Amino acid sequence: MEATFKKNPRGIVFEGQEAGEEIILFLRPHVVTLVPFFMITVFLIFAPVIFGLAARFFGGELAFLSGGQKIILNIFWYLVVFAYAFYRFIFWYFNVYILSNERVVDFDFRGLLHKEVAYAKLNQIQDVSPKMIGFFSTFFHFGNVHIQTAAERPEFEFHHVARPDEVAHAILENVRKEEGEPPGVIA
Amino acid sequence: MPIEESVNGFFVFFNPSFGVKAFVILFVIFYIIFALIIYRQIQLMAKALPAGVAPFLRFAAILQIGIALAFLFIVIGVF
Repeated sequence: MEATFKKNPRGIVFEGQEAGEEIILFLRPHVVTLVPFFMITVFLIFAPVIFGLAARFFGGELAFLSGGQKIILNIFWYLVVFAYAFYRFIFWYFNVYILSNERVVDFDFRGLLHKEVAYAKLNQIQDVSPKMIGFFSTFFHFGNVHIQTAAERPEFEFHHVARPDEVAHAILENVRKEEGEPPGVIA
Repeated sequence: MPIEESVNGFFVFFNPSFGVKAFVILFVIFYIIFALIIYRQIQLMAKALPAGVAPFLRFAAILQIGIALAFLFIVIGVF
């Protein structure tokens, strides 16, 4: 499983990365956020068995379908379940947040036909606030990091990332470093 | 006659098995479109962010399209 919190990752580059620009943090939503979808998938896998038993119990059966047709319907069902699980996984996998020594990058895969990439230079960041709300968030130590910027997109939110306080600290630290650099220098 | 016969004919033609077949074929066609979009999304995202398992995801997406196409032909043949 790909990590959800990587410091100074090696071998990862992203589209539009400048020469000398280094990735400091590479983040994905916490793995715990996949648990509800995993449970739904497990339920969907067993649903035909449950449905079959319930139908037999109540005396109703799909008598108008032949054995082959029932098998086809089962295969179709499992194709749909696979599609659901696969879609949820890539939805999670391609939601990536990057902190580099120059900017923050937000790769958003919001839906089947909705892909968004947003950038904000570190010297445009005005405020960073980590948020952990709820039992699971506190227990597994993940949450949102809200970033206010003076960039074209005024607000960024890193959703359900691990160790949000550490992420906020790293962003602020790099903002301070960036403010100390002369304009145009990538370091 | 004719009304009864044509009503019977209608129900013979549109029996439940035929309804299920039409439903499955329609949904498999939607499924294939969905699988194609997923494949294209993976291609684009993997280009923007090349990462470890992206080739496996692409392979899984191609496999999904292949299986869906094969399934469509099986449904047309078997039902």
